[in-house]
Amino acid sequence: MIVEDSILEGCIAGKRSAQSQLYKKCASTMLGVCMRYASNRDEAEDIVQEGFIKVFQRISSFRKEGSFEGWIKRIMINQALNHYRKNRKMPFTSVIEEIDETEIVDMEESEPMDVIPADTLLGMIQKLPEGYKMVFNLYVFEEFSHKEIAESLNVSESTSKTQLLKARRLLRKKISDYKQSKKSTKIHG
Amino acid sequence: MDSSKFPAGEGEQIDDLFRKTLGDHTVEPSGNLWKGVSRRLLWKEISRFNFTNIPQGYWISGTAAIIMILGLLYFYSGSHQSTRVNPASEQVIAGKSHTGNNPATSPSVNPAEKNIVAPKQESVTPILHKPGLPGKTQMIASASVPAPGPAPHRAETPAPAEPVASLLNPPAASERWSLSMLDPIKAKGLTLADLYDTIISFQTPQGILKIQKIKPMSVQSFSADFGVTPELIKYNTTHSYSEMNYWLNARISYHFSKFTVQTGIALGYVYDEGKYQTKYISKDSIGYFTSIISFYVNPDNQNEIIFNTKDVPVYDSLQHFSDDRTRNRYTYIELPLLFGYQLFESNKLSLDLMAGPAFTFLIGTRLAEPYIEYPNARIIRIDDNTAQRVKMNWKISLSLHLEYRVSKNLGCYLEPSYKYYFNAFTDKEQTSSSPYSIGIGLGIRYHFGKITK
Repeated sequence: MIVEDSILEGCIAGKRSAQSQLYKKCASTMLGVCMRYASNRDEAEDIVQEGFIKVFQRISSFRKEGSFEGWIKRIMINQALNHYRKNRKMPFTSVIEEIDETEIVDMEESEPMDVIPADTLLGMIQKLPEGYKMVFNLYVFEEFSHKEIAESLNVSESTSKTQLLKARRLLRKKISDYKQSKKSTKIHG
Repeated sequence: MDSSKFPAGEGEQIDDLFRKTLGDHTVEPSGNLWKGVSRRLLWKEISRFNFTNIPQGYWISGTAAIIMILGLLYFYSGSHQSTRVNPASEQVIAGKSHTGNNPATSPSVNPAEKNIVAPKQESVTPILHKPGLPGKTQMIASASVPAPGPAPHRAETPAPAEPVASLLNPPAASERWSLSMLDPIKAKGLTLADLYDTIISFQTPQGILKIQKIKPMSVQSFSADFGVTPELIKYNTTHSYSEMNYWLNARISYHFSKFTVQTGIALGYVYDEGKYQTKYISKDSIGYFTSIISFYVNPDNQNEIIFNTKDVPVYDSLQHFSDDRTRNRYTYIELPLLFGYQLFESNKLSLDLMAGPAFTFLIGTRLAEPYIEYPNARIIRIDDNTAQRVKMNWKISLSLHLEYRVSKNLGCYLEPSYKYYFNAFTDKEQTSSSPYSIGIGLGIRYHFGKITK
């Protein structure tokens, strides 16, 4: 994603045409990021909308020392975290359904995981409980340490670790279920 | 299954799967998303409007437009409001007729506009008639010149003349008429400002000129103000700082004699700092070590080894705390109750001293979220240390209301003001640190029809 200086300068000057161009260049990538943090598309678009408002308000503070994509992505992630904090209803101690380990198919025995479509994987993340989702996203995609996650989400480090573990476990089950359903489709098809 | 039972490496395998598949995943937004962003941006621009962010071109055009409008109003009022000398309270009726005929009083002639010049020769002497109730009617004339035959239209049967000096008080400088036609009166140490309810006849070469100044009858009136007041507020909390606030005023005033009682409502945008502390981690240099690049034996001394070295910085993740400030906006409704006294009044200008309490109620809060950008740093946590605002404040306001009349009913005003808050804006502050503000109000005042007792 390359954003020309002329577009940035136009945005700094508050020109709507430049803002529109910047939006067109970045919106799909940023919505892809925010979809991981949201539960559905509407929620993700709300986060992106708020994020773009902040981007346009603060674009003059972008110092061109790093990549613009990294800068705008950080704003979107912060916005997603703010959205999560505002709407957080339950503490991190939510207990998920017990997973029957016998039901989980050994991944190595099944087909390679990379054939699972992106939208399916995205749907799996979106359906995670809020706390799992936040920890998983921050750890996997933003490469936060557990200590940093703990401070960002105002939880303990051990909670962060536990949430990540449970998130992975749940995702593993979802992947397993998905593969089972694909297999049964093939057999019956 | 506890964590120890999780297959080794499988966690990372899942992480990699999601990272590779979704790391650069894009989703096309719906068409409504940009509309929403665009609408929000427009609203932000409107809500951020203040007098400091208006482009220079707009300032120049706006100022030019105001000057033109005021000029037109002034011209219009000057050419059509002929009878008014002091628009607020006084009226002059002038008439002119030829010698020997009954004077036909011309309707509402403004002497200044008509530029009627009376000769200054000594033979021209003002003859003054005092109309009104029969018992009070009197004619004032100089001893040397008799009153002209036909009586002015409002004069009753002339009464015996009285010495002028005994009827008049020393004239106020502000009420002196600048009409050249009144030179004969001034020559006698009089001004028309003192001659309420008096018809003055002038013997001029063109005929008899009659002027009557009617005593102000208005004792009560109402007016409505609409204006804006930019003000600079000074906060004295942990440190002193200032912010610009903006108030939109709609007020109604009741005037009686020289006094005014005023109330109304004002909508204020009050700005204050938001205080945040950000914790972030950055990779910073914590020292260096010396690395040997190469070495060789000193050719001059076989027992000596020479090392080529370089200093290599050592980085580590360091935790930082940063105090950051934002600019929050609070919306207030103000209910003032002001009392005023008129200090000065002339044809076009008036000056009132206004003072009284005002109560402000917090109705809205817009907190600006902090944005802290540290290159190569990771923001861990942002703590909001902004103090909560109290719901109600009260203050005392002192202002000078300077009004310029552009027409009979319309005036524009300039109102420098000082406001002192008696209670602090937040619970964390001490009362002794109450803020104060100075501002300059600008607006228009519409005077409603006068009420007479």
